[in-house]
Amino acid sequence: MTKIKIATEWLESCAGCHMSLLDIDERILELLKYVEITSSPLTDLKHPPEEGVDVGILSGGIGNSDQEKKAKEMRKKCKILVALGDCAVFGGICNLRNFFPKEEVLNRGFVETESTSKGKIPKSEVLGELTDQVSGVNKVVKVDVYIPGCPPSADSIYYALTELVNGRIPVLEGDLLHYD
Amino acid sequence: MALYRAHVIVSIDSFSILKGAIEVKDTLIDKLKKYKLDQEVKVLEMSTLGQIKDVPVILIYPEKVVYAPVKVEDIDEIVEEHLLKGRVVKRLIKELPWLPKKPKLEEARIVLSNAGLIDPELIEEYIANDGYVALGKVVKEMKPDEVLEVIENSNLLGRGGAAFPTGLKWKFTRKAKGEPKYIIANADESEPGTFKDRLILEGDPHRIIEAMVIAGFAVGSHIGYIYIRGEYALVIERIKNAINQAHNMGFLGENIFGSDFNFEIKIHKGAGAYVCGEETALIESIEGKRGEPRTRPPYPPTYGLWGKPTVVNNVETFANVPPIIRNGPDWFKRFGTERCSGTKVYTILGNINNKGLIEVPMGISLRDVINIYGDGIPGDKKFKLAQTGGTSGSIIPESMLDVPMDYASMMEAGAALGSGALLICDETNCIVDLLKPLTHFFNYESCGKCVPCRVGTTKIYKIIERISRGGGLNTDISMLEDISKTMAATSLCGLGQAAAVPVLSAIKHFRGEIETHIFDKICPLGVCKI
Amino acid sequence: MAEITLIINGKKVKGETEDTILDVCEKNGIDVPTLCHFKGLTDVGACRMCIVEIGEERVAINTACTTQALDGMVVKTDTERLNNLRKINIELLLAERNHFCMFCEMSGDCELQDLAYRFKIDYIRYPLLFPKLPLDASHKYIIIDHNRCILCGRCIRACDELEANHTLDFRERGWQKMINIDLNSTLRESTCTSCGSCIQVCPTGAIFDKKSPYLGRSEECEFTKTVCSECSVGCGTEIVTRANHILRINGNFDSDVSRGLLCDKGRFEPLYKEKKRYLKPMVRVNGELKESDWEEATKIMVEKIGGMDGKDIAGLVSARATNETIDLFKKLINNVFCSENIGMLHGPITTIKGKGSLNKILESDLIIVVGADFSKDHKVVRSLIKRAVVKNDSSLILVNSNANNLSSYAKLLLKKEELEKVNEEISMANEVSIIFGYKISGDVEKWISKYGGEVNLIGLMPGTNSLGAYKLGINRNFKPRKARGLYILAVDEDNDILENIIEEAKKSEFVVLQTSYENVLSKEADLIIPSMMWAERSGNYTNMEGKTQEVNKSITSPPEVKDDREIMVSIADKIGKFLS
Repeated sequence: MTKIKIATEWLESCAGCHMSLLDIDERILELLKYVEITSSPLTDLKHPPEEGVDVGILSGGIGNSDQEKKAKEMRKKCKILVALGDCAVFGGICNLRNFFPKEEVLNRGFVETESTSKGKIPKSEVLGELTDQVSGVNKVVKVDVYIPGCPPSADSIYYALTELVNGRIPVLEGDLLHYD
Repeated sequence: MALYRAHVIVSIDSFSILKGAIEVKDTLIDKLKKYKLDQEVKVLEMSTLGQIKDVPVILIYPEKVVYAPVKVEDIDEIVEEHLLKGRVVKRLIKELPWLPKKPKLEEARIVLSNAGLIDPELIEEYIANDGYVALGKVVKEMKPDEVLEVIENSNLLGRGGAAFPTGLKWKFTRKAKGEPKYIIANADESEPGTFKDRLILEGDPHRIIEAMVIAGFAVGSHIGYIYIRGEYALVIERIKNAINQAHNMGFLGENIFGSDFNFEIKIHKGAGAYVCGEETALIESIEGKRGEPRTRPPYPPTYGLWGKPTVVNNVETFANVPPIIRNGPDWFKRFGTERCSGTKVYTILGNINNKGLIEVPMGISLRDVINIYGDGIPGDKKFKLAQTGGTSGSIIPESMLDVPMDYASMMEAGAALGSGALLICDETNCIVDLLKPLTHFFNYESCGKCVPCRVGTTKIYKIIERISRGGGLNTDISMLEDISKTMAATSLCGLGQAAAVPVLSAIKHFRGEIETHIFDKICPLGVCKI
Repeated sequence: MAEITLIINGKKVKGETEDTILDVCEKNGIDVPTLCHFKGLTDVGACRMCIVEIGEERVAINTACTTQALDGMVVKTDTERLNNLRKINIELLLAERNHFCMFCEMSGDCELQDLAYRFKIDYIRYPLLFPKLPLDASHKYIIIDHNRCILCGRCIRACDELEANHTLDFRERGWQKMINIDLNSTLRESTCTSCGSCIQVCPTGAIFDKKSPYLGRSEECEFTKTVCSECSVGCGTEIVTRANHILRINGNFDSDVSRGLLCDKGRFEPLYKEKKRYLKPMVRVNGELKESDWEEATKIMVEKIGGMDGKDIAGLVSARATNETIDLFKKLINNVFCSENIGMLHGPITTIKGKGSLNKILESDLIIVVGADFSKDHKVVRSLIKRAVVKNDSSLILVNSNANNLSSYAKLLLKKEELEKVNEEISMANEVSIIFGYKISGDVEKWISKYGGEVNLIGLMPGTNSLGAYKLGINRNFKPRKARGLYILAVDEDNDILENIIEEAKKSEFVVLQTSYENVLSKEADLIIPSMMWAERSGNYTNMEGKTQEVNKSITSPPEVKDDREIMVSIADKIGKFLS
């Protein structure tokens, strides 16, 4: 049978959600019978393939213009988009910078840090621009499945993936649904 | 008591003061002194004569001539020509909608029969106009149950917005156990656009006092409170004065009319909270607590002020009581429709030629009010929508212009009459721009006790505000509907339940216009700065 | 109270006339989600979670916690419409303030989170607003974080109805509504009495204590119901432990004595004491205390104390010891060491004949407080007095006491010479409570005894189990004869009690100190036997009402620390006498 193609990407995040994905341990061998992981920060391929994938997984929130682009690219190239982890669902811990104006944040990070002397806020066309506020990915793209957690447990991720493999939209409840 | 041959009433209120009313009045008094007319002509202040545009207003009796707008430069002419020589100054004449020389629609002045015609500071003038006759009749010739019968038979519905049968409310209070019982007049009038109670209280304060004593007699109460919003300084003064005069004449206090019935009235000042117009929040406010509504049941007739049976009625409702007692319930039922007897006082505002107050029988259509009373929409613009019932009222599109305005018919049509403010909007108004201050008002006035209203009004305002800036999201309309329906179903009091109404009715009748703001990110009328 | 029948979710269920719909549901095991409801506090219907459908033809939606249950009412609690409305309600709450579960101390124990899980909310639809809200960590024990507050008002009601202090209330309205402390003060500078009731009733992580965060969620902890050891009220407590470590002390709402109320002395201070614990027996060698073992300790005990004549031996016991321990100690001193010289560390107590219960304070229309302080202990009694005065309009008379700042609530403030003035007040009242402290003079004692039988009489005790010790026959002044051998069963007694014995200890030849922590007597001790502290003990206490309550251990003592009774039995055994 044809395997389900999956692509993942991490945005404004700590990579914990991807670690949790790997935490499904030996179950990944079973999963790989039905799933092909195409592009991901953990594999060699860094962009989703041209022909698209079935399931796109985004972890991390939207904090700069670069991440906006990546999120839109993933949305274009997949049928079902999964927001993995609190940051992707609503901004998570990264939301903490929303209490301060963008300029203050950049100043604190690049100029005022104790170990910096003569700091400057970097500006270049290649660098992305910080968004005014951090948000979940659903601010810029339509999301089909939300998996909250910080990170979501390996069990939750495994359950969600198996449901998707079986053609169902996963509904998390009980122990699999947690925000921490 | 000095006898004057003429009375000149000058409108002194916020609109008029901005246009120089105080200078007008002072100039008038000076001029009268100069012409030695100050012993013959009395100058009175009255807060609102129902006008908003074309102020200040001068009303001269006995001719019942209205001059508006009046500038300081006109005073000379008015005093010389009209007061001295008896010749009317034609160029300044204006017709007040609620004091029409030639009534445009049916003559139906029940509630406003005295306002503007008597000196509100003289109890004698009230008595001369059948004042306190009803109270005398009640206390000397009737039994409490008979009074209840009369009010119930008259079909008088509460005029504060909820339209609960007044007779039934009084009956419940009478039956309930607990002493002492209380009568409360709700003069908090904070609904934006409504100022009818102010006119009634400033122009005819004794009427409310009389009605409250009658209610006390019927229900078995000896103490009344008038809860007046703190901003109504003149009203508070006038009522205080009226209470003193009524005491002196034996209409308040011990042994009213020589009977063994006593009644006291106290004044409580509001402090600027719209939510304190809600009856249980009002009661909490009088008790000295935060003005937050109570859960119901139990209702005030069983558990009200200090836990005792309490009648809470709107000022306009009370204003109907003395005439009903004097003339009987059948007389009252001649006005209005079969299901809703009597009249209603409306304040007409917005894009309309003749703004102000009118009193018309129940059942008149909105179209008639606009065309006949309001003299139509200025600039020949087309009617777009009206909001009846104040900020929490429903949005009425053109298709509903002929619905008879009475509580029952409006409810069947899916709208609410509320307290009687009519906001008329022409085709240049943007629905989103209209909703912005509305939703902000509820957000600002929510007491914060229950979750759906506290958070719901915040979210609704933020969403509308964002839409008006061009930041609308695809999910906005469904979010507005969800939040509004939740507020309507689960809010603790009428504020939350009603705050949802304008939003839902706007979506129902003007969805396309809102969607244009959201999806196309433009304001079709060019009002919102996107 | 008559029985009524309702039809809830199609089934006939029974309730009583004064019940609310929620009461009937709770009595019949029907689960209705709640948030601002807390058993023991008045209901306000603010959160709108317990909405139910009432009626058949015209269905009204109203909150179950505030609607009185009427006979024949038809109620539905679990329809799709209700659950939809409840779900949107929770979503609105989650979108109102800053709820970050991932680093919240209460995650896993949060009622808001539990409801969100229950309604399977996996994302928040409404854009978040990130209001900037303050956090008040000024207080020694309590933190208030307004970012997590859902404005349910439970803390306000607990502070007002349980502690009767009303330090907390709301300020502002609408979305600017906040929990307010006094006149917008910080918690540290406020009138807060640190009773901690607010912590226990707060459903989210808005109010929490400083010691227990991140040390364990409820599902990982053990809960032991016991009784507080800090004074003679004997409030019911619940000790939260994990891996043999005490995380938190909660009030027990099922306790007849305290109904969930505690004070800072019982709730917080026991966890803030930093004292050196004795883990092994210690013997004084050349002026220095050196670690020893049980063999040696018992040997020395038998030699030194066992070798003395009965009249040269004296025993002193702390009122923090359980009845069983005190009983055995008495038998040890009397029968094994053949001495009659046994007393309480805090000295003798005054008892006046009469019956009393703390609950009756709330039913009294006249409360007389004589010579009682309440600044160090028995604070819960003060809370009950204040509650009676503020909520039930009881009259208060203070004699030789200001009851720790209750003067402004008192009808009369008298000195003890003016006691006669109270007689008339008593004759005019219906129910009278007299509460007296433990340092009253003889003539005051005589005056109180006059009324002992007729009033609700409550005598505060200087120690936790003083009344228990008294009933076991220990109530004498320890006469300063030259006791050559002194056996002090101090357990975890406070220094200010132990201070009074330093002089006696100095005069003795050999001092045995059976205690948990290093204290002011350690310097005088020749032999230190490690003793269990309050959380490791089991037994029972008799409180000042005369009620005997069970003390249950919540943690296990360190391996070398044995039960006091076990120690005494083995000492007796070594001497060759049997002790049961």
